[in-house]
Amino acid sequence: MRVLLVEDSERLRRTVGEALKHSGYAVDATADGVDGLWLAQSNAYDVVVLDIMLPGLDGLGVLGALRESGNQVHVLLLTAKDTIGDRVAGLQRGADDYLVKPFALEELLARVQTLCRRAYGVKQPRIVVGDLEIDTVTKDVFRAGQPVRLKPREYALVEYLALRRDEVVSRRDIESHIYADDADPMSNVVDSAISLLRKRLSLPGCGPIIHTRHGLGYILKAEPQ
Amino acid sequence: MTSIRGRLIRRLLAWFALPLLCGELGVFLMMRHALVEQFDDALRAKALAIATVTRVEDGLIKVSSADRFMREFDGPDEKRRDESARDESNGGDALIASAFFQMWEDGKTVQRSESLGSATLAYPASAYGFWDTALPSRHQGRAMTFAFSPWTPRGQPPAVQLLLVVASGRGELDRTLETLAGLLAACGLVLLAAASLGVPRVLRRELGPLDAITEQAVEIDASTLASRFGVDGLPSELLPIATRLNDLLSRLERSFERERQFSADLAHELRTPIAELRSVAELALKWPESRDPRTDRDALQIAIQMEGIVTGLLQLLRSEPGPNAVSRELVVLEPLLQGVWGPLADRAQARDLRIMWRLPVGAVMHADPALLRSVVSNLLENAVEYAPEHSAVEVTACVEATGFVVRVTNDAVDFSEDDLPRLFDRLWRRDPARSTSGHYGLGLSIARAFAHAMGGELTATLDPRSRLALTLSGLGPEAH
Repeated sequence: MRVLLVEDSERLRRTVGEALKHSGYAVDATADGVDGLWLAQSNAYDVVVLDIMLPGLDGLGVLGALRESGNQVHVLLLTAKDTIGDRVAGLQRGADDYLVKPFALEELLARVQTLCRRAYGVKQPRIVVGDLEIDTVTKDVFRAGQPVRLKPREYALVEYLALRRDEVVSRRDIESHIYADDADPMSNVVDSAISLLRKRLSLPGCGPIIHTRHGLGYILKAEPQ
Repeated sequence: MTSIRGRLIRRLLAWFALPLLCGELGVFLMMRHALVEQFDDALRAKALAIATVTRVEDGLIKVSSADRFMREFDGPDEKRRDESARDESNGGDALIASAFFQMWEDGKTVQRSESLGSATLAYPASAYGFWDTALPSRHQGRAMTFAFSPWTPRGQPPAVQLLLVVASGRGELDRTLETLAGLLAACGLVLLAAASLGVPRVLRRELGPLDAITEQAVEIDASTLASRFGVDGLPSELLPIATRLNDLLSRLERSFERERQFSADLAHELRTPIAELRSVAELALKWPESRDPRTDRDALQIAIQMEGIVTGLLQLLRSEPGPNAVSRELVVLEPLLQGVWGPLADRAQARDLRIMWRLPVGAVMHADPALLRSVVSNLLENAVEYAPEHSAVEVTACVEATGFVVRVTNDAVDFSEDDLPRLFDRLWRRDPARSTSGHYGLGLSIARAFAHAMGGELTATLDPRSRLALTLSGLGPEAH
């Protein structure tokens, strides 16, 4: 999942960014509202974590500009303003969630996770595709009831594919949502990651669940028995 | 509690009742005087008539009773006696129309009316006059004395002087006066009753705008300070009150807004470092294997930052008006300014700021040394932090029309006249995102509070070239 973090406090930007990355998100971060708006309009993020009091253009201005342009990206407002009026103003501008500083990192991560699920129309925390079961809260993966140990980026990849189950996901999408700027466009990091993930999910008696659509991308789909 | 409306009603009614009472009394007295005069005129006419029909015959005083007007001096006939008795038994007056006269010559009665019967009238004290007297009929009457000389035939010796007293019952006069008094009293009561009903109603209607203002004022609280009293159509007596109240509400609204903004800024100022501290700690605890080496330094810096905020606020609170011990002595400026500038020099150099000193030799200020040091420190820090890079900061001390001043001037290209009134507000900063670390918007608030505590003033001006000047005044040596 790809997250944009717009926060002018350098420490918060660093710590929240690290926490998101540790949780398997691809993170872009900026301290400026104008830059944040440009990034949000230029890239397909699953969630934007947006501070309100920003230099350049404040968070509500960024949010308003996104909504007016038809951008439906999920936005979590992060702010020290905690009055009901402030919350209402933020939500009425088009925010999907509102978190008041100081906050628990766990709560921030949980809210980002929920918004990521909603980005793909999934509300329940457990995703089931055939005999593949993913608990998005505990980040546990089971295949035919057997636990599968995955590294954070591997988990992020299988979660992303599962959220877009039965849908062909292009390499570009995988790169932008899982690797952000970390991937060299000329590299085959996505193919390598898919290959490794297939091995992890391949258990005795279990058929393939990640399928290749040549020239198009990959699809996570339970084959009929 | 005193009620203006109650007092107005009582006083208006009193001011109405008093002239009414005096007027009615005046009318009554005038009417009584006129009626009595009329009665006296009738007595006088009777006396003249009696004098006219009185003559001397054969040395005797005779009064002709043939004239018809003399009949009232006759005694009551049988019919009148019966009527009088019936009247008296019914509570009426007996012999109400009776008249009496008596004549004296040298103190001896020479003639008397039949109506007197065996009674006599009192001998008069003077030759002419009117007085009230009791009549032989036991009713109140009025009498007149008249001295005259009766007609004497030609050739007879001149007549002697006779003293005539004519008396008549005044029952009808008194009843007329009683009726008049009753009518006047009744009218007065009706008018008073009407006024008692009308005055409160009129007051209630005319004081309606005051009641409306009162009701509106009751509704105003901290959440409705934006409301204003309507002034259109207000009576001229209430217009100044409503205008002053609106001014007061405007000042209160601005004051509350500033306090709200201060609270919001304080919340933001403290929440962000707390959020940073929490996130740094939680990140280190949740992923200890990838603990950032900057974690401990970050925690310390955040703690120092929060300490700075709390210390600044405490300083500000302590500088509020109160029984603070502020010493005043002559402080030599140059060494103090140079001492304050020392720690700032590196930062100024890093930002390529030029400092220009324009201080007269031996310039002094009459101030508390510690507070003055804090004030100039805040002014210079403000200049070093917010002046654009590669610009100049000017420190001037001179005598102006208002007295001796110290002024710190620097470029402020992002500043406007609208920002000036907010410059000294607690926690206010030009950058709404409050992104500049280490500065909390308290320095100038503290500086001005300290200036006031020393009896001086700190003001801000912006010139057309967008140069911001912070001027400390009122602490010159002449203030000693």
